[in-house]
Amino acid sequence: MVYKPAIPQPTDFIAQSQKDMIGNFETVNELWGKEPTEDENIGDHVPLIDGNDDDLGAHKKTTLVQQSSEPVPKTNEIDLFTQDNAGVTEVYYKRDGDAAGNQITSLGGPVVGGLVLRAFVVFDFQGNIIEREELDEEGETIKVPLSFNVASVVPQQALQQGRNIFGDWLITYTKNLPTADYIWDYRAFIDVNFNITSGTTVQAQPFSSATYASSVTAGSFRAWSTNIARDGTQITPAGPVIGRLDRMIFQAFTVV
Amino acid sequence: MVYDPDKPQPKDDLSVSQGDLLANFQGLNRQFSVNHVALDDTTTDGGKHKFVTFVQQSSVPESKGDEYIIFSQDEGGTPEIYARPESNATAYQLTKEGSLFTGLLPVVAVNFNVSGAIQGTALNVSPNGVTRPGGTGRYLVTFTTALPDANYFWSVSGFDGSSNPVISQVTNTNTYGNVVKVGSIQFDFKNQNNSLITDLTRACAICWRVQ
Repeated sequence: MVYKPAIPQPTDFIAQSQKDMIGNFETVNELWGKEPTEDENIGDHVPLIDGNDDDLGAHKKTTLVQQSSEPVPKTNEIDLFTQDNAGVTEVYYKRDGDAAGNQITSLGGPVVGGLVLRAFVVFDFQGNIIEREELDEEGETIKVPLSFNVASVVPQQALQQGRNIFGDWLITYTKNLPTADYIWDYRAFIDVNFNITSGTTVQAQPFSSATYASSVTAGSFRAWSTNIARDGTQITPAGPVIGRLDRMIFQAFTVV
Repeated sequence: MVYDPDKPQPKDDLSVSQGDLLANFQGLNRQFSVNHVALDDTTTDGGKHKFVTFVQQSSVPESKGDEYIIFSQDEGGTPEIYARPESNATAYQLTKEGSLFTGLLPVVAVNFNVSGAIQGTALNVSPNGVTRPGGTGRYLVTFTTALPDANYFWSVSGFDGSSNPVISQVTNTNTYGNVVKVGSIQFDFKNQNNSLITDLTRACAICWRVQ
């Protein structure tokens, strides 16, 4: 039933007004927020008839319907809203005095200063993603993988005596990046105690014995590390590193 | 007219109550429609938000267990969005200066090829903003808008597809202040013999500053 803001009218009989008023109360109750037992996706607020008094007046969620024009915040106010951006609904925020809204999401990622972090991973020489230990709400120790949007890190060279001794990995994303022209940042650290080629520095970059388009794709990044002699001589072959890289750090960004 | 939750009263005449009830139903619809799709909207968007207006709060609101509060507070004369996790945990800032707040703000990002042509979309670098002085492996990245100061963070890496490493760094044949500036930054891409390469296929550079 559609809400009727213009009832009751002076000429309405009480029987008609009673139907109109209960109709409005039912509509408000429904649009405010349905209970989970019905369809909790309807309405953004805790239901008016919710049994938990502490939750009354609060939100369940906030659904932002795409706006055709930007709202204008008043003094000391901020508006959070959505608009179309190349066919995709994105979230913006606008402070009073801002000439235009500031985009804060892009293609499923948060925008920070115009840049979206699409993937990152910290891994060891075997391709194991490093995990951090922390306590959950119950005080139990949980392990948090130091990665985002990375499905796997797999060595690309044959194992030697069952061990990975080459700095050549394929980092595969869980979800493809929006473009292959993303901005990557890859770093590696070699443990001096396991550096077979002594007196070298490690250079980390995409796999270089191939075209760029085959090493850096929207779905993966082939990471490669090479030894660089500190005395200016050339090491042949240049890579991959043979030794024991302790930590590799990889990040991929796109610009909004 | 202001919403009056105390109407109608038991002794009110029906002719009086009619006006009070009408005013309340109109007021409810009017106030709800400021941030929400109006109650009398006939589309399927009923109950959803058009946008959310945060009125600046003078103090941090209290959060109960299993709650997360988003609110607005003054930050240097401008309202910004903050969040407070459950059970009155410490609130933190979500936005600053027109961006999400992470403490470190990307201010320049660019992916370019051997001729300095930008690949994909760049941040704060115009289409002709990457030049190649001398036609070697030295590239000057000029920012569209100069940064507030030259003490920013930078990162650069290159690729040439030659099976050899590409050593990427800020040009080190000059003083730091002459190559890392508020309006530009200059990078060198070299081979193992410390010579500038001329076949750079692709390079990526990012600069950040503390928010």
